[in-house]
This record gives sequence, C-alpha cells and structure tokens, in this order.
Amino acid sequence: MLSTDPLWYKDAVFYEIHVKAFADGNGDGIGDFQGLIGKLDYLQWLGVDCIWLLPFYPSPLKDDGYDVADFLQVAEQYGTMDEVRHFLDEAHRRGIRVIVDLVLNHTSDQHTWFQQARSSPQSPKRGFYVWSNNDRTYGKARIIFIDTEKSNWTWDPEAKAFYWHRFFSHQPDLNYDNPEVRQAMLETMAFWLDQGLDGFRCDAVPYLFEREGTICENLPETHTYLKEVRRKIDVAYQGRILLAEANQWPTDVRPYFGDGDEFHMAFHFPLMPRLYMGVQSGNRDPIIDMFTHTPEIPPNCQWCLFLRNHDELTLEMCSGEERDYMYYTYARDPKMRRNIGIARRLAPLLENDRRKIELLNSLVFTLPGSPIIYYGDEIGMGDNVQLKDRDGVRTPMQWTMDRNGGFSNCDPARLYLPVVADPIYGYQSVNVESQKAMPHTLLQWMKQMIKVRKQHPAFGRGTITFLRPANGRVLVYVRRHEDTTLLLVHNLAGSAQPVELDLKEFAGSTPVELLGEARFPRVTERPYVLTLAAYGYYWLNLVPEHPRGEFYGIEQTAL
Amino acid sequence: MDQPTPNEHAVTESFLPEPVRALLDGAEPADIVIGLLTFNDASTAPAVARTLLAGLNRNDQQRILLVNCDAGSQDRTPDLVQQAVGDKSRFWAVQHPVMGTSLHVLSESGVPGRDTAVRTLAMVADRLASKACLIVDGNLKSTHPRWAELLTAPILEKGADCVLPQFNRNRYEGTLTSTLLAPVTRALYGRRVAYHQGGAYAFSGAFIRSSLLSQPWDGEVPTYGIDGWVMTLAVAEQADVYQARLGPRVQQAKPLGDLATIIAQAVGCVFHMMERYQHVWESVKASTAVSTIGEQARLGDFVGTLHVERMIHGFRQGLRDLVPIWQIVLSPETFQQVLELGVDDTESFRFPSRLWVQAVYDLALAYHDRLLYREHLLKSLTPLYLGYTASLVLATRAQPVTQVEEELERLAIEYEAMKPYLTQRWRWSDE
Repeated sequence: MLSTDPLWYKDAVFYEIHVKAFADGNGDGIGDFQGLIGKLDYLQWLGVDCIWLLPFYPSPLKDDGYDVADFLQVAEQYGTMDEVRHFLDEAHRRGIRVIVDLVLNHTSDQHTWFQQARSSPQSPKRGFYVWSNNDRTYGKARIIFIDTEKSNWTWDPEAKAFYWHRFFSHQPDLNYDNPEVRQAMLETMAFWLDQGLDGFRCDAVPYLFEREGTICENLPETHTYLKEVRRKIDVAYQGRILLAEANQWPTDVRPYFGDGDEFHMAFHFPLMPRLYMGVQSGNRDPIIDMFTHTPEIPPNCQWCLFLRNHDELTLEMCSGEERDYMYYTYARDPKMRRNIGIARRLAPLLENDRRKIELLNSLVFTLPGSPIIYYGDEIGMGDNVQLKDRDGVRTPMQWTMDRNGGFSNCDPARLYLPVVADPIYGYQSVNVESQKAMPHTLLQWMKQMIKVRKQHPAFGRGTITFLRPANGRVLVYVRRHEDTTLLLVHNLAGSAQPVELDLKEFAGSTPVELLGEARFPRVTERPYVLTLAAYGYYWLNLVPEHPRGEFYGIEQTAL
Repeated sequence: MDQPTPNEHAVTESFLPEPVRALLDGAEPADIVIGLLTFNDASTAPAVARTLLAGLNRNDQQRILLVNCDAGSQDRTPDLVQQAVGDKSRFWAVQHPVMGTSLHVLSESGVPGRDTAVRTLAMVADRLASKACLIVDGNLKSTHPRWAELLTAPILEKGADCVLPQFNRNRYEGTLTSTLLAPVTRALYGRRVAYHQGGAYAFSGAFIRSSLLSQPWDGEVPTYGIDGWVMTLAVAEQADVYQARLGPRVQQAKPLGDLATIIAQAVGCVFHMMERYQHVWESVKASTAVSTIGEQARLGDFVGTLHVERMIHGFRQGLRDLVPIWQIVLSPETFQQVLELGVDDTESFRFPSRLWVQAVYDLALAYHDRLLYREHLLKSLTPLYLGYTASLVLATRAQPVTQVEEELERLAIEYEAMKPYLTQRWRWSDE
C-alpha cells in the first residue's frame, strides 16, 4: 500500500531504471514493461520506494529516448499503454511509486510538431520552436555538448532558417514564449498523471526560455512557468511530485524550489564529484565545503542525492583543477570520458573496492536528501567503455548467470547492447541471483542499509551539523529530527583512523550502532574516542540518558 | 547443612578481592549482614543505610554488619555512607569486581556488576556464619525501618530460606512481570510469587550455603540480571519462600536500557533457568500461594501516559519486520493467529490471552531448541508484548482496578492450564 504522507518523497529511496535495460519480457532483446512487471517483487524486496523511469516515449533514439517524437505514446518496443497502466497498478500494489522523465525543453526533430513547423513559415506549429535567420542570436549561451556540437543554432534547409537547440542538433528547443507550447506541455503532464504516474523528473529545466544578453539559463520566465505547473499538480494531483534536473550550483538550483511552490525535489549535482574527491583524497573538506555552499531549502522540499546515473559523472560544476584531478584519478583512459565527465559505473570507478562502495553509499544514504540508486549499482555491475556515447553504463541488468545474464532469452546477437561479460564484472560472477543467495554480498548490504534508513526519518528530514575533529580524514556530522539524534562518522582514508569527538552536548547519551544495535560506551564531558577501519563508517543513534517522555509509556515500569 | 571443606573455601574465596579477604581474616561473626549495593548513590545511600540500621537496632542482641558493596562510585558514596552509620555500627566498605561485560548490563538498580556484589555479600555472610543476609539497593528512596524487620523476621523467627519483596503497584505498572514473568514462574514451579524485581530481599545463612554459593555463577547470570536469577532460583530450589509487602517502591531514576533489552534479559533469565530446572517444573501440576507478611494493598491508579496506539503500531511493525523470525520461532497455528491480529483497527484490537500464552511458550521452546541466536529470539518477543499489553489496556482501562486484577489472575490460570502444551513439546524436542 502506498504511504499517504504527502511528504513521502523526503523519506523515499529512489531507483533509476531504463526500461530497455532492466528485463526483456517478450524475448526481442530489448527490455520492456512486461519484463519490468516481473521484476517488481525484486524491487519491493530491496526496499525501493519510488522508481524513476527514463523516457519510454516513441523516439528515433538518437539520444536514448531523450529525443521524444510523441509525448503521448509508448514506444512500441517497450509495450502498450495498457501494459504501462498494468505496471503502475502492480507497482502501487507493492507500495512503490513511479515517476518518469519528461523532456520539457525540446523534442526530437522527428516530432510532428517540428515536422510541421519546418515545412512552412505559415505552419500553425512554426511558433512551437525558436527560429532565427542568423546563428549569432543569444550568443552568450554556452554549448553543453562540446564533443559533438559547435553551435546552439543549426541551419534547417527545409525551413530555410536556423533553429535553436541547447543539446544535440536533432533536438530542437521548444519555444516557451508561445502560450500554445506551455499549454501543450501542461496537457502532456495531465495525460500521464491521469494514467497513474506519481510525478516527473523534469529534464533540462534551466533552458526553457531564451533572452538576448543572458546565458539563457535560469531565467525568471522559467520559474513563472514552473510555478504554474506546480499549481496545476497541487490542485488536481496531490501527492505527485516534480523533480528538477538542473545541473547547476546549489545557489542557482535553490530558486527552483521557490517558496515551496515550484519543484518538490532537485538533484544535487555538484555534490557527486566532491564525494569521489573526498574519498580519493582522504579529505573531508570538498564535501563539507559543498554543504557550506548549499542554501537552506523550504521544509516541503528535498535534495536528491546520487552517486551515478545514466549519464556521465558530470564535471561541469568543477573547477579546471578539480576536473583534472577527477580525470587523472578516475578516467586516465580517454575512452572513459564523455562530454565534460566520466561515463563509468560506480564499481569500476572505485576499482571494485567493496569498502569504498559501501562508504560512498553510506554518505549518500546519510547526508541530507533522498538517495537514488542507479539500476545495477546495488550489485556492483560493471561497464563497457568500448561502447559509444554513454551506452557503456546502460548495458542489460544482470539477473542470473544464465544466457544474457537472465535479462533476455533471445539470441545474444539481438540484444540492444551486449551484456557485460568481462572476468571481473561479467554476469557470470556479478548477478542478482547469486548475491541474493549469499548473506554478506553487496546486494544484501544495500537492502540492509535501505531498511535501516527507513526506520529513522532523521535521515530524510533531519538537520545537519558538521563536527570538525582534528583528524581531517574523518567526516562527522549530526542529523537531528524531533527526538532523534544520529551521529554519522565516516573514515575517508584507506587506513585505520582514530578520531576524538567533542560530544559534550550529548553527555549522558548512549550511542547505539544502527546496523548491529551494539551499545557503545556512554558519552561524557570528555572527548569521545572512536577508531575506524579503513573506509569504515558508523551510523550511531545517540539515545538520551533520560528520554524526553517514554515512547510507549511502559518502558520504565515494565518490570 | 554441610559445612564447606577448607579446599572448597579456597576455591570460592579466590573470587573475593584481596581487601575483602583481609577484612574476613579474623573478623568477628555477624548474625545479620546488611548488603548495601551502590554506584554513585551519594544522594540516597546514606539515608537508606541509616533507615535499615534503625530498623534492626531495635533488637540489640543481634550482631549486625553493614557492608557497602560499591561498583566504583565517583561521588564518594562509601565515605558518605560511613559517615551516616557512625562509629558505633560495624561497617565495611568494599568494592566488588566489575567485569567488562557488566558495564553493558545494568540491573534495575543501575549498579554494574550487581551479580558479583550479591555473590560477594553471600560469601561474606557465609564466612561470618550469619543467620541472615539482607540485600538492599542504595538508591531506594522509599526504604522504611520496617523493611529490615519484614525481610529478616521470617528467617530469624520462622526458619524461612528467603524473603522476596512485594511492592505496592499501580494499574499497568510492571506489565512484563504481571503478564509473563510471574505467571510463567507460577505455572512452572507452582509458587505464586509476585516476582517484583530489584531493591530488597533476604536469604538465610543456610540457603546461601546450600543453594546460592553452590551455583556455578556462570556467564549467563550477569547477562540476565541477578534479581530474576535469585528469585527464580529460590522457587526452583523449592526453598521455603516468604514474601514481604514493603509498600511503595521509589527509586532514584537510572537508565535501564531499551525495552527490547529489558525483555531479553528478564525473559531470558526465566527461559535459561527452565533448562536447568526441567526436572523440577515438568512434574509440577498446580500452584500454591506463598506465605506473605505486611499490609496488603490493591493496585493503585496508573500514573503517567500510556500510548496504546504506539504499542499497536509497534506490534504491527513487528508484523512487517519480524515475520521471517516469527515463522521460525512460533508454531504454525500461533503464527497464523498472530498474523490475523494485524488487520484490526485500534479500538477493536484484542490479543487473546490464550494466544499470548501460546506465543510465550513457543518462544521458550524455540529458546530451548536454539532455533535462532538467543538474543534475537528474545528481542522478537517485544512487539508481541506490546500487542498484548495494548490489548490488556484497551480491554480494562474503563473498568475498575479489580477488573485488571481479575484479568491478570485469569491469565495466570491460562498459563497453568496450557502448561501441558509446553511440557509435551519440550519433551519431544529432547527426544
């Protein structure tokens, strides 16, 4: 049963899935909704609260579905509208919500809107896109895909005009100055919410409007429109959410929360590379600095935290020096680099070091925000850097050691992408079935962490205070929510570390380790000493000496 | 009773700290040893000592020794107790051994290593040929002079082996004791003891020699807490037990730990002793009252706030999280009935007494069969206990207090009636 709490997303664990990559139900080598339905029990077992689906709309697939050719249909290879509705029902029956990518900013050049628009200046759809007779307009806007695009304008010989695109040239930007476009996208959202979807991950929201003399990002007009979207959802679709993809600094993302009247959630993009930097350098400063620069958000809003996703590990929000450090550390082979980032999965990035994988997941699970797990990272799936673009991190999910990793029973040659089959990360050794069968695998660890996280709303809703012990290799913070105080301690170094903590404020309380329920020595006025193994971590609940009122009213007199 | 041989003395006394052995060398006998257990109790222990001595000094013919067994107080508790008792009384201050594990296992008194304190006192009483050993917690603010008399008179005058306390209780106070510990003990050993833990009890010198010091004092004792252990021991050894109604029990608050730990320790003690005393309890068919002295009192009004909805929520959380464990430790019919309880709404929620008893017996059997790591098994009782307690409160909170007493008596009878369920399965698992 679904939680009725309107703030459910603040406690939720998200799980990102590409329909084509998860499970093939009809044996054609491409994942689909039938296959996905068959794997819902697994996601429920894991403890997932909300699935985020990448675009499943009809598309020429030049950008893996982010080039949408029809917003109101399901791509044939993934299934039918009935199957989508069945999938939503089955997910909801298991207490799992579903949000889906909605590409607000642009369409495919194959969309009928664009086809009609380019056909004639008099076309009713001409105004759906941004046209110019030169390629110098909005010259201050940066080019995002610098590997492939030389300009944000592309000449269309049929339209005999340049059209505006912030991403690939086959993805013309919609013209949000046109009220018909704004209305059409509102109707698109209403259509999917009526099917039962629980919200949208809104792609590339900073770029909806263009104004000369600006960088054409984060413009006030964009916020005005997004607030209109939110109003519509609040009125007609309570409990549904909007998640912003805005690859910006936190201070620039902050306006997307408005006064709690715009997006419910937004990704914290710049944190991700700093987590890797912190662990690689054994220094907590990059992580703390990032939170120092993260502004407060309204109480009904939430950050989304992640380690990896379907795109490259973006380094757009890094300085040149930081970017060089990340490339040197994590992507010395140029094949691992895509655009301004690193297209690798979590486990290979961390050299398959289980200690680092746990540590980074522990950070994402305990820092303020809701965690997102990228499909396959819960079992430590590998990647294939030989594949083009970002396909290397979009290979089939590895379910078993059977043919095609249990993803599909088709001829392996028909698979949309080859299954990872190398000796370290190959499906024969890394798969769900084997990790479910053993008690101490990464998968079982993830399940346990998710379970423990859910037991303590402080993880999703608590405030954060960083402690600054003398040992800078240890990252320590306190999360507080109502009567709960959690102490989170992470050793970012690859060697055992001691740390002395000033916990005078909590004198008298007893730290209880959340995973094993072991009671640590009581906190006193004196420095509290902990020792941590290499990349070790503690999740400690500081249980007060004198509870502020008993929870059940019988504890002190049970005997 | 047999006197220990010199060699036995040597073995048992190796446990005693050197300062205690030095005190014992050449010490004069004491008719009554008062053991005062303390740990940072400077605010209460001196008054408790004075009160107990006042109660016993009425009889000048008894030779009395007050032994302050302290766990290493940082607040000068032993010094202050000594000042309080004055020069005229015989007084020893000793520090009992505190093992590493004891720090995590605080009894209701909050004194670490309480088991070693009791053992030390028992050995001192034995060496001094005492007729009675009275043990009282130093943080009991409600200690009254008549406590000393009530706890020692049955031993000195009637030849009793031990005297256990019975405090005045309020409605819904001590629900773990009244819904599980006491009725299980009654059903097992046939003695209707209140099983009120902590604070005050007394043993005869003979009982100490024959039953207390002869115990293995193994590692399980500190794990489960000394109070439940000595009370269960008394009834299991079929000692001549008396109960003393001591009135209210007011304690300087000290942390007890979380509910699941309390349950694991208290219930674990009962289950642990079931294994040792199977030969006793399996043949017991009925129960009898124990001799009780002191003024009788009914249950008082409940003080505080009961969060029944939270208890039911706690039970349902168990239904969500502990089903894999309950499937192992509960019988299939018990498990099925427990599952069905989860669908009731709050006001109509009821946990039948028979089902509760059956679940408790199932857990005892699972403990015996070692179906799971025992601490996890015992802690898995917590949601069931919350569910049954919530049901008890919902069924009786609008009723007079007599209704609560009657309900608890019916429950105790249910435990006795269902004992064959336990006995038969226990025997099967042994075969």
